[in-house]
Amino acid sequence: MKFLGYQRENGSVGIRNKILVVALSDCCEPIARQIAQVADDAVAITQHHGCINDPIVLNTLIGVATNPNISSVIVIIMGCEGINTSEFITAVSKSGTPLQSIVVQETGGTTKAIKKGCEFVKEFQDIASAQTRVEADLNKLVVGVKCGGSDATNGIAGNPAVGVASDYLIDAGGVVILSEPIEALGAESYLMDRAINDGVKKDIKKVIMDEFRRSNVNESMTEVMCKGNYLGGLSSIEEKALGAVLKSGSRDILGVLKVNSTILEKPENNAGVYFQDGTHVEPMAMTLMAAVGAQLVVYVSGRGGTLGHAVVPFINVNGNPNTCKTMRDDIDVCAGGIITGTKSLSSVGEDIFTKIKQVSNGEITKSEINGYDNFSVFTRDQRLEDLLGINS
Amino acid sequence: MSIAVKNKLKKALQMSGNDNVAIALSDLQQGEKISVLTSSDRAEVRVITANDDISFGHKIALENIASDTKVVKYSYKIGLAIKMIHEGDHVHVHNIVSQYLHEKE
Repeated sequence: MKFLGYQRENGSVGIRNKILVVALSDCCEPIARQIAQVADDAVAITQHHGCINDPIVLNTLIGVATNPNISSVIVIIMGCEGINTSEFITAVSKSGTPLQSIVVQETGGTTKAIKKGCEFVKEFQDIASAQTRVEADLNKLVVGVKCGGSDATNGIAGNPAVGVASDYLIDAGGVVILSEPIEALGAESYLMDRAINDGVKKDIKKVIMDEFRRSNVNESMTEVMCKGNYLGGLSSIEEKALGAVLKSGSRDILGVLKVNSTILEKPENNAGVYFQDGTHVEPMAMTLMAAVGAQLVVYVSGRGGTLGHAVVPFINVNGNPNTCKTMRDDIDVCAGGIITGTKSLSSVGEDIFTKIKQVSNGEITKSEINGYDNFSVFTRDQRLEDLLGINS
Repeated sequence: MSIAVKNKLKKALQMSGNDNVAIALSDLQQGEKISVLTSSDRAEVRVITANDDISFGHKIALENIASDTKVVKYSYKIGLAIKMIHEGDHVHVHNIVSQYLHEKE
């Protein structure tokens, strides 16, 4: 099966063709934003962890800048930040992505930096408009799956339907990334049973248990089961977790993608599921998926979450028939027919897979129409890792 | 799309063939006959009677589940029965317990 995408020098294929304006520290963010404003296909991002050299933050920004959806990069540097700016420039240039940099202190301040940035945007727009979509195999697709804004329908309709679509994608050669280590707590056996070997099995268990230890310092476990879950009919953490991880389908889990201070691991180009360490917080989780090469995220909600991402299109699936009506301008695929009895799980799974292919071919999602360009970078507090003796 | 069942009974969904519970797709009343469907293609598995009022999204037992035996949804254990559960009973925190948190305590 094929889709139409933008062929990149390193062999990857983008489904969008964006000019990324990245402020390596957030003091430059307004400059990046004003530069990105001049073009529809330009998008501004930054990180909010200060300007120290945090390797997780740096590797994430490098990963995002080299995402296949990015056509070119303009990097905004203040000139005195601790983050390793030359490492960013070297890594992005090495990937073959065209890059221009602006050092604000050397350029002569804000106005001159913005003017220069706008000139770079024009230059890169010429490159972008010369790039056209070409036929590519579906095995070039890497899709992240995520859920949030859950209600009782997530585990019955939305997540299982996305699971069916995940299986279709993998059978067509694609890769699916599942994140949310804390939300998998209670569903370890389901994930471990799908591991291709004992090493992966061990890694899955470790990622989930490490996250459990971080979340449970002083037994402060707050995010696991809430009152609404019980009222909605969920009786245990196992039931909730199984309902959540179902969105990764049923195919083999080929590996665990580590996120730590030395590596941001990327999936190999084999069809299957990868379990990514990191976080369940939506914008950060999506950024981590984008940073390891995902071109697209499929999101499942019941109550009606509205989100998006600056770099990866966001397909909003909803399993609640009522929400599908009230928030129809935000929802791309309604899985509510599974609840009302008008549709089977397999047919909604097919609808989602079809939507994945359409969006990969360039169809605009509701979240893109509505202007969602969420971006947020995850990192870890190394002090907590040291105190808990976690070597992730 | 295959909608195999045309009767007027309220529905409950069995998520996987090995499950001993199904999920109510609407609010069920005590004494009501319920059509249990497979989630994959909505084929009717059987008809059972609800012993309790069971809200949308909550679970109904598909068979008798003895105390200390597994409650299974999605083919996986979601908890242990802490008392005898009969076919048609509401299955929730009053009669099952999380094995996971149990082990951690």
